[in-house]
Amino acid sequence: MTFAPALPTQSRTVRQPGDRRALSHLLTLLLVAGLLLTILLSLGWGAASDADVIGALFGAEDVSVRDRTIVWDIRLPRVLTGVTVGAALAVSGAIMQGLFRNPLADPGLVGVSAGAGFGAVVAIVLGGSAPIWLQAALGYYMVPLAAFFGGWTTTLLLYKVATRNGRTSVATMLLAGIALAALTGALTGILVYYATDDELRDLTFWGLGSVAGANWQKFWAAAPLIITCLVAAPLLARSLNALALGEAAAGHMGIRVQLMKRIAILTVACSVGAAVATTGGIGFVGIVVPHLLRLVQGPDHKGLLINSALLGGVMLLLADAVSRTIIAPAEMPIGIITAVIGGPFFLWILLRNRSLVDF
Amino acid sequence: MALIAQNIDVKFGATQILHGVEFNAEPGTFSAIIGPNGSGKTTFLRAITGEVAFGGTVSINGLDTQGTSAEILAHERAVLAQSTQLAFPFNVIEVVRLGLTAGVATGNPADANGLPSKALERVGLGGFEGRFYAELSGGEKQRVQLARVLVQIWLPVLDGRPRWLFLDEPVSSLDIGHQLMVMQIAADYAQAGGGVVAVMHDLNLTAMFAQNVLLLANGRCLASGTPADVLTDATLSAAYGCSLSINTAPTNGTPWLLPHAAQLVGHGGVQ
Ligand SMILES: Nc1ncnc2c1ncn2[C@@H]1O[C@H](COP(=O)(O)OP(=O)(O)O)[C@@H](O)[C@H]1O
Ligand SMILES: [Mg+2]
Repeated sequence: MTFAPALPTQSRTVRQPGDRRALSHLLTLLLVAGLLLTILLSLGWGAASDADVIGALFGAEDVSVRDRTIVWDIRLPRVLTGVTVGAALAVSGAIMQGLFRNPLADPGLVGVSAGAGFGAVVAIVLGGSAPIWLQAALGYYMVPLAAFFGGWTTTLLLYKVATRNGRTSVATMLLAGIALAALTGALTGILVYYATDDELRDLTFWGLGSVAGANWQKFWAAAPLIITCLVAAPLLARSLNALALGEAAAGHMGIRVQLMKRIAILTVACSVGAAVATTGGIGFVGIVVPHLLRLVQGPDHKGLLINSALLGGVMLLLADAVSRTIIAPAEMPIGIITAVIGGPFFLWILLRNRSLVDF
Repeated sequence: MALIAQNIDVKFGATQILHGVEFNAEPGTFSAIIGPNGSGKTTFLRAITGEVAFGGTVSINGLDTQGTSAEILAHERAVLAQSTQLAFPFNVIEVVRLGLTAGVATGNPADANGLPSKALERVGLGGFEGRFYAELSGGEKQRVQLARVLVQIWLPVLDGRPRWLFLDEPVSSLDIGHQLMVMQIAADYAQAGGGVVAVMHDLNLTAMFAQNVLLLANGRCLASGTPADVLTDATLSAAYGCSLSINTAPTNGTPWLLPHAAQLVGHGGVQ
């Protein structure tokens, strides 16, 4: 009788797909198709047939004026706003998580959206008393720009408070987020006292978040900022990947860490500011989307940032569809839908990552 | 083409950790930094790799590290930290691929794709590509990080410039077989013309592999030179505060250390 030779360690290796890059590319294709389909369905939903929508989009002769108006003047700005805002929120969530090296960071949860909302409210309420030349120079960009400065200031403050020697304490980050959100909320409340009735109607959006008020004017005020950020975001991928090993290691691998952190914070503030200026605070998109994608394709930011933009757009359109149908003919604010889905999801992530929070 | 560290001072707040440490290393050699816990070995390594602010000057291959960009330094040297925290569930091959962050300078970019797997093979982790990093043992993690660091500067000499491998206690979480494997990788790197500077805890491995030793105690250089100069009964006993003696292995003549247990009895441990 002979002894069975000891098994080498490799034989109990659980094999997982080593290369998830192909998976990420495949997912990009699927998401592009999914996004186009969702856009098409959203344009006609309950109002016009898909054939009429396509006809209206491509200027066919036999489409009624009504259908053309619905598609071009009502639905298209709303759908495009939903897509860009969803993409902006999801991508800024992914960037913040990479920057804070933590899957729980989200612009809505840590007060960045609240800061941006405060900036927007300042512009709406006090913008009318700004010098005429300034109003003329900024035009429709005044609200998004103010929101950007609000979001930027909050992100910088948050980073200063929560990060020490390149390491972020999750507990400090979430608590600082609560404090910042409470503070900006209170300041926003004070401003509301000074608002006129017209301004008040605008302000109600910030509390709940809604794409119902979308029009071409608002879309064009925010879109250039958001699209710039979406195009710039994948350039951060290499640095965010390296940062997963810590600031010191990223520096040794050739990343200019301080510079990339500044760019990342600016990108987040810019896209969240523009998104919040358009639709108010829509929560949880930034945490749900990147997390789902990481489960499927892994944490490599190259594919993650691109696919987050696509999936963020799809998710926001779906949430908008729910918000329009659930209590039809009235509309439920979309922020409520994302919170109802995102809240439990966040708790689930929290449970899975409890070790990250327990200290 | 050398590593020259002159008059290195490091302060953390009001506490001065390093006091004017001098250190030179030549390519083609393995240098060890030794000393008791808290003597400043890690801090010294972090100074010469530009991770902490310091007084004095460090030059690598003629480049002053304080005036050279991260991108350029990344092609001159790679650094393995004493421990590395990884955020997010990357798998092993994805971690090793991070070593290619600065791009490959292997001469042939086509090599880049195969490099991470080759490096894993080299550290004895062939077949681990798809494993989740977080689920590895401490020793396996340390070797994955070594593979990542090797990938960054795979060729020990590039265009006539030696490249430098900085390792902080690379073998402290490894079993004896893998300790020898990692030490051999470092020794081969030096043999091929690269420079290796490693913080070492194990004095026997230091005696076996190093050609150049820096002994730190309380943030000062206590001795430096060849192992024969530094690894003496008197110097080590003074630095580590215990009694030991250096012997020579009868088989191949390498020095080995014998700590004197009598010293422990003297401390009142055993009656
Ligand atoms: N970031 C820091 N802040 C303050 N003191 C530090 C810091 N890092 C290390 N020290 C102190 O510097 C001394 C040297 O530490 P270190 O270089 O890590 O020692 P070792 O030789 O064990 O690697 C220790 O007394 C340690 O407490
Ligand atoms: Mg140390």
